[in-house]
Amino acid sequence: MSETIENKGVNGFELELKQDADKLVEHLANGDVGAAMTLIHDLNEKRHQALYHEVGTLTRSLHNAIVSFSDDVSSNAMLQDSKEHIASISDASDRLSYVIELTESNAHKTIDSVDISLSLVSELEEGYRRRQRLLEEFDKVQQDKPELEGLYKLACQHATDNSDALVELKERLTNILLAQEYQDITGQLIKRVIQLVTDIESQLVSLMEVASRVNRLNGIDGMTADAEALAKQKKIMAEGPQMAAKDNDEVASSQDDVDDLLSSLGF
Amino acid sequence: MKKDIKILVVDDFSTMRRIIKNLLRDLGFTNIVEADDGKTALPILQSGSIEFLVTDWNMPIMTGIDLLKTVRADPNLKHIPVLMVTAEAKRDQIVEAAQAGVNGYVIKPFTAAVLKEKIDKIFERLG
Repeated sequence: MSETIENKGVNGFELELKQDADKLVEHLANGDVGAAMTLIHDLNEKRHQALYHEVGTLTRSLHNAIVSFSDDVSSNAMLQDSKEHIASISDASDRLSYVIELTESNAHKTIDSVDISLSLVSELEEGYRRRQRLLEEFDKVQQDKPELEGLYKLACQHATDNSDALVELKERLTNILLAQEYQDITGQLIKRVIQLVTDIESQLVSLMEVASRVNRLNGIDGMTADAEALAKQKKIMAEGPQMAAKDNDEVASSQDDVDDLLSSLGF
Repeated sequence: MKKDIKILVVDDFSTMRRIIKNLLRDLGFTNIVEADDGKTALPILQSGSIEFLVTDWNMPIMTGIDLLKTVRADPNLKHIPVLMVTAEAKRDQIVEAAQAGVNGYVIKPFTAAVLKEKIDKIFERLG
C-alpha cells in the first residue's frame, strides 16, 4: 500500500478530520451542498482506511511477537544442552509442551531419589532395632560374667540412638516429595497458555483472511498471490493446531505465508 | 480405619499421582491403583473392589467433577467415599463439588498433614 496510508493511522485521521471539518462548515456556509457531500464521502473513506491500517499493524506486531518468541527461546542458554531437542521444535506451543515434559521428567527423577532415600532410612531404622535386640541379649549374658562388663559398656557406647535424626530425615524427604507438586500446577498453567497461543494464532489467520477479502473487494493489487496464500492457510487451519505442530516444514511455510500475506497488504 | 482398602488415585499428571501414592503409603495404605482421567477411572471402579477414590478436577476427556457425578449416580458405586485433590479453588467450584456429594476437598498445593487430616475425617464420619 502507498506511503501516505502508511503514515496515517488513527492519529493522522484525527488531524485530517479537524482540517476537513472547517472546510465542511465553509462549504455549507457557501451553500455548496455537493462539495460538502463529496467531503463527507471522502472522510468516510479515510476513516475506513485508518481503521484498516490500525488493525493490520496490530496483526503484524502480534505475528512478529509470536515468531520472535520462538527465536528467543531457542537461544536461551539454559536450554543449550538440549539443542538437538530444540532443533526439532519449531513452534511456541511445542516449546511450552517441552517445558512440561522437562519438568515432569525431572520431578520423577527427584521422586525416584526420594523413594530410594526413604527405603535407606527404613533400613537404618531396622538396623538400629536389630542392634538393640542384640544388646539386650548381651546384657543378659554379661550379668553372670563380670569379665564381659567392660565390653558390654563399650558396645552400648557405639550403639548411638539416631532415631530422632531419622524421623527428621524422613520428614524432610517427604517435604522434597511434596515440593514436586509444582510440576502439576505449573503444567496446568502452561497448558492454558498453550491453548491461548494456539487460539491467538488461528484468530490471526482468520484476521488475515478478512483483510485479504477486503483487499480483493477493493481491487487492490496482489489479489492472486493473496488468494493462493489464503488457500494454503486454509489447508493448515483445517488440520488444526496439533497437526501444524507435528509437521515442522508446514509450520515454517505457514508462518512465511502469513508474513508474505501481511507484506502484500502493506503491513 | 482398615489399611488394606483398595484406593484409586485419578490425576492426569503422573508426578501428582506418585506424590499422592507416596503420601498414602506413608499413612499405611499400600493397596493403590491409578488412572489418568475420569474415562479410564470408570472401568476400574466398575470392576468393583475400589473402596476409596481420590481424584483431581481438571483432566482431559472426563473431568473429576463429572467422574464424581457419575459415581454418585451409579447404584453400585455411589457409596464410595470421594476425596477431591485439585488446584480449582473457586468458591462456586467447591460448592458444586459439595452438592455433587464429595466427601473431602483438598486444594493444591497441599501438605501431607492436610491430606492426612481430610482422609482421617472421611473415615471417621463413615465409622
